[in-house]
Amino acid sequence: VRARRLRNGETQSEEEALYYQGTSRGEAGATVASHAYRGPTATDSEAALARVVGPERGAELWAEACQAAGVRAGNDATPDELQRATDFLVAQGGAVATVARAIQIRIRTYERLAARGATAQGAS
Amino acid sequence: MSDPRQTDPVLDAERLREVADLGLLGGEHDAELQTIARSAAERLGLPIGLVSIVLSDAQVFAGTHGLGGWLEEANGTPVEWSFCANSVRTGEPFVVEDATTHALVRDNPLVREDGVRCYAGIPLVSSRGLVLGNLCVIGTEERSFGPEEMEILAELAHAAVERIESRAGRR
Repeated sequence: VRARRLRNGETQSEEEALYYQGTSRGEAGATVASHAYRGPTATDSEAALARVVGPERGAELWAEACQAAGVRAGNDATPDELQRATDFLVAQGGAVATVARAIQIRIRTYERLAARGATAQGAS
Repeated sequence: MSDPRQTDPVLDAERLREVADLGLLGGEHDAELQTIARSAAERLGLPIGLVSIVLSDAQVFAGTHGLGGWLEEANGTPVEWSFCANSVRTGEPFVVEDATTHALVRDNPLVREDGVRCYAGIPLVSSRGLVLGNLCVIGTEERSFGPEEMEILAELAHAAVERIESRAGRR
């Protein structure tokens, strides 16, 4: 996978570039126009946890997952980072694991739809 | 604003724990569930059969027959596109004869973009009384589903739950 260097010195794979196409990295994933579908972000992931375990526990769990996975704070996690954080949550078992698996399926849905050549546009 | 956990059965933590306890988080297909999905599709003469497990924000397929393209690769969809989630909310079978005119699904991308036209799903109810998802069949042309066909699906849904609970050591 080819990578490109961002202005802040970090590198970004083509896959990540597609994921964040048309956005300022950290705001939201791009949208697959055909399905009007946006890839999940860290904020989406924390909100998904909150809907099942409540906002306080959701925030705690997401913070633990980010720390365990070495994910940067804030909403600029890459798909790989989201995958690692949710892997941590899957290992917790129970209802939390089902939320984490759901987030992973949402990531994969976005990636597969984008990869098949659907037109990706910036989220509006 | 009301707490979504109190209003949407899809988000019920007890139901989600049941899904996790039964090892239904996905990743690998179970051979028996694959057979059940194929049998459902073949016996009803439709191209697709699924054992679909509804998580909080997505559905994941524990058994599939006839899927292709991105759906096969993703092995699931966001929950807002899940026809099966309707049964989790009602505990009842969900039938769509013509998806293009059905109020609940006509704007669903799986209908608009992926060609889903008809659907019939029977809830997968665990022995603890919790709806895990649906055994369902999907077609690309509108059609109706008779009582005998729904009975076939109900028998196969029962077999799917037996398999799910058996491999989890409950039976």
